[in-house]
Amino acid sequence: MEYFKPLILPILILSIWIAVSYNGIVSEYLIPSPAKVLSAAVDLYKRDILQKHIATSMWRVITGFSIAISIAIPLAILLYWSRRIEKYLSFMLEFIRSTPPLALVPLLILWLGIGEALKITIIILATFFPLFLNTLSGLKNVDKKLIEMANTIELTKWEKLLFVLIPGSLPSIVTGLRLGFGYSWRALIGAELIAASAGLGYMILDAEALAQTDVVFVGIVVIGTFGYLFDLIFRRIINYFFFYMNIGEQL
Amino acid sequence: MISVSIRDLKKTFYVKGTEIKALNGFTSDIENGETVSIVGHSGCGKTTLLRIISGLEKPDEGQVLFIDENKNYTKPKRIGMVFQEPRLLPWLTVEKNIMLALKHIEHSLSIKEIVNNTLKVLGIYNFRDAYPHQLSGGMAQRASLGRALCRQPDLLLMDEPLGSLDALTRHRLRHELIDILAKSNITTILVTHDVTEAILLGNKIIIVESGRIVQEIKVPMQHPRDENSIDFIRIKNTLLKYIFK
Repeated sequence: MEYFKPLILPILILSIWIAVSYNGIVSEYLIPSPAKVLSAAVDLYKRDILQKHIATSMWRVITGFSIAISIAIPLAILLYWSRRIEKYLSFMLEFIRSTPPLALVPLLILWLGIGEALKITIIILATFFPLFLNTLSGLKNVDKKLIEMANTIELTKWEKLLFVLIPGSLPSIVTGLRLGFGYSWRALIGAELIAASAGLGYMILDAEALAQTDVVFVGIVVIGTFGYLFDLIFRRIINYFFFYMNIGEQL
Repeated sequence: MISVSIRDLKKTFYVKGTEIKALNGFTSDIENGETVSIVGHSGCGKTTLLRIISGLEKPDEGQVLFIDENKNYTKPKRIGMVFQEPRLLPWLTVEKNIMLALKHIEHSLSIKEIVNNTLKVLGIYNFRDAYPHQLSGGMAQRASLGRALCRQPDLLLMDEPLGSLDALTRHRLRHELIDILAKSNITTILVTHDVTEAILLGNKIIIVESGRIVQEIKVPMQHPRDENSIDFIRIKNTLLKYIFK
């Protein structure tokens, strides 16, 4: 029964959707029937359009997310080691954190054009802070007693990082990764809605312009499903690798 | 092996504006190969003393000098520290926790051999692949002791190592500890609030109060020591008299 609980609400919504669309309560243009949405999805799939948009969006997310990881985690470690650098950077970091990435889009279009660099930059900006802040907070909250122990067995700075600090802050880092991934997905769709010629966001916007509400629905369902699947994969990885730390349960 | 000369150590902490003198002119000499038990009420400065000797804390005044067998001032090659809690890394197995402590130690035996020997001596060889959360309190503390001992330290510092264990485990581990210390002949400083433990393990007992030595008592008894012998009871009564005066 526990396994089916999360499915109750989607089934309920689907039932209401079916009832509303088949009884003609709401216009087919506003809410197309599930069958029509499914048929649109199959059609897009057969013509390789859906795969193309998914692949484009996925490539952008993975590229932006990877770049954000490679900047945010080392910077958090650097700031953990050097409180002096943290003092210099704190204002700038807080300033950028408070600025929504989409608010920077006009400037970014001017600087980077409307190509891939724009979308990836928006993803990096959206993903960076949850990753950076969670990593820094995780490092700061590693049990001081374990750090003391590491000092007594004379581990070097890098050994302490590898064997004590990183594993000790993993729950927080992984939370940052999950949040960051969610944010990157949202930011991507935002970026693709503004300036793109491919990707799920573009597919939705294009369908809206052509009054293809069923394709808009396909886009929304695909985005939501991918978001859910990636979160599920994250949780599975965590449970598999960190079972002994009960991190999976914490998440 | 090294001896330790502690000279006029002073350390003050400030907690919410209140001044707490943890050490207030602590001076003592600990001989090469000697096991010294330090007893006293909670907050008398015992743990601060160990933390300063181990280098985890800096004193406000005074110094700790280490002297080698040729009477020269030296730095200890290795200090082994056993805390009240095992402080094992939860993400490493028992074996890997101990191996980590051997990272920078050169030895004729391989790291694996040293670890296996240590685990066998401490009776936890069969638990070498277990994670800390799968161990009982006693086993985890044995692993912690193993981590300190396998480094073959010049100086072993133990901060109430049996303090968090149940009475039965404590009794068993206490006697194993006596055997290990007798065989290894490491200069050892043991902080404890257990008077029996202090006499069973120590060659000398230092009673501390308000960061100062109240009394030093020699324990001229051979191991194994009988808790019911007249000498043991006499020393215990003397200790209790000083602690509760």
